[in-house]
Amino acid sequence: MKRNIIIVCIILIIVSVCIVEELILHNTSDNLLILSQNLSQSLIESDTINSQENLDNYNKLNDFWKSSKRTLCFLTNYEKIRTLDESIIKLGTALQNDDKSLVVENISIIKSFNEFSHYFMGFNINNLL
Amino acid sequence: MITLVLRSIIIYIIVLIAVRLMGKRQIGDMQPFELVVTFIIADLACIPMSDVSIPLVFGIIPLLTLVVLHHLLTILNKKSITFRKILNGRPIIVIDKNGINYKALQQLNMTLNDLTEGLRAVQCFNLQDVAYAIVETNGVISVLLKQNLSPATKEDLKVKTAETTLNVILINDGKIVNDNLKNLNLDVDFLNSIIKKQNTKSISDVLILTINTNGEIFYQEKHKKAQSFNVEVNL
Repeated sequence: MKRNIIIVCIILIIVSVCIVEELILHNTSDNLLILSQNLSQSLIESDTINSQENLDNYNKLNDFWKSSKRTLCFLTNYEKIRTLDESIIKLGTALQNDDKSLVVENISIIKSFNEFSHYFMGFNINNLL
Repeated sequence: MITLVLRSIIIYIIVLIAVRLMGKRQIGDMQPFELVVTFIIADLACIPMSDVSIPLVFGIIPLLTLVVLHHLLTILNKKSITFRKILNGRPIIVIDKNGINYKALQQLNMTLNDLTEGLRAVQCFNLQDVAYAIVETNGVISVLLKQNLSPATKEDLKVKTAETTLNVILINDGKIVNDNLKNLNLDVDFLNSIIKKQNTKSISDVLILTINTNGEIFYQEKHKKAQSFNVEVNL
């Protein structure tokens, strides 16, 4: 009986960890995608790369990433989110240096990562097989 | 480095809990499904222990999943005979009254060398002495010797024997085993009276004290010789 209770507790722990992981991964990638699309839109609309609006949008993206990274490290292999981390840092530098090609390159990486992150993180048939 | 140490401690504790939950079994006594779980657990535990970029939950969750799976398989194994046959296989008779069953040996992927080695392991050196040999589901060979060669029991010889008794430890390395004392309806005064008779200063000086239902005591003081004696006690 005691063992059965422990097993039920373990099942509950596994289920809750799985749900929390899925929710966090989906929320993070969805929000990052929206924030990167906002930045992309403001880049198209503005005349200069390092305009205040672009920098504000980048700061929003960077702040969100900083707060999410800590939680993600508990749930995913750090190597998997390393590319995203590096691209966000490079994007900030490129914006300040007014380097258009580097901005376009990194923003594409960020967008693509968040669009397709569910193929290599969280529950997905691609991941399963 | 501290991270690695702490990760190793956490994984060790979880593996220990997992193994305890799965029950005590030696490798040789394991059923196939138990052996598989043990191998996987050992491997799973190593990965997050050494690679810091992998979160600890990547090791813990699969470990716990295996514990749950193992528990479910054990329940099914207990409840269903068909499932037990599928999961563990069934005991196979390799030697019967007709001699060695070659077909059974082939079915088990066993050679004659494996069979004779298994028989020698159970002190059976002559094939002609064996009436039946069965390969159990955990790989152990059980042997039934021919009636004229099986050892005679006391019942066969009509020898009267005393009732079988179980020795219970009351003092273990200077510490009283309270549960055993309570089960036998004895108290500390009983132990003190024995110790006093043996001229021992205190309970902490006693290495071991056991008693059986006949009142026979095995007593050894630390760094002294062991002795056996009887006491009058109703158990």
